[in-house]
Amino acid sequence: MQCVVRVAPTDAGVSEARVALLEWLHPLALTGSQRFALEFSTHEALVNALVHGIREGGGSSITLTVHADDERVRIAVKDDGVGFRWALPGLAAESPADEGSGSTGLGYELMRRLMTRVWFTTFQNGIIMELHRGRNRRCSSPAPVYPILSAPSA
Amino acid sequence: MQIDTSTKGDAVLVTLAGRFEFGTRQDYKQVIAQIVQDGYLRLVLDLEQVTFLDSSALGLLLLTDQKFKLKQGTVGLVNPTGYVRQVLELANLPRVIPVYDSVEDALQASPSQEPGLC
Repeated sequence: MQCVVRVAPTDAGVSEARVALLEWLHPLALTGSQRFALEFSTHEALVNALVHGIREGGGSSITLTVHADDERVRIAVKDDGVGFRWALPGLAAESPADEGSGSTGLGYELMRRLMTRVWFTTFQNGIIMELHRGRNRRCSSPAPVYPILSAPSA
Repeated sequence: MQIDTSTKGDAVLVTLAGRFEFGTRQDYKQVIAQIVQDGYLRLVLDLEQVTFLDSSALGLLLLTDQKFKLKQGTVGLVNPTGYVRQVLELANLPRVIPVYDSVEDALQASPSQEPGLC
């Protein structure tokens, strides 16, 4: 099964695409935690495309592709902006306190926790995420053992 | 997202409803900026009616907490449910900002209340 959604490059378009994803996933026998992982991660990837691909990168279109079979659900979010720039934790200038673009790297870290695998496709300016549906779905990209947000030291 | 603000003694209660996400963050930032400017040191954020929360909102909650702690103030979250609670726990946010079951519990909490799911 596969579907391709042309996402309107607006905040409303991102919300509509997320709703479309949930409707498409509805007949699949997914657990609640799997639906949560797919919904959250797809939203984060779409917002990233909107911010960095469209508003900062001058692009005009976002495409959401979802493929599902008995083993996995794979989601690809691509845009036609000039560049792909995730705020990677430890590499980015932004911090959780950044008030500008909203980029903190937190979304990426949470996606890595939720999904089995996450790839960046810098050539085609996109991100691909895969969630394995079996018992041992975390075969790679293990979740970090440290808390993403830690209490400030006294 | 709908945002309602009221004062409860020396605290400010901000009640959020709807989707708290990248596209609605500006409204929240304006409200919090005004509260900080007014000099309040206790903030209670009622999340019971929030239906969706993303990493942008998580970052803003953390930023809000940092602003209040810099002034020896406190922030408490109230009754996140369903999806929103899942997101908060995923990010370990209750380890940083205390989460209460009710507005009354949050208002009665000691300023030195340790973070966590209360």
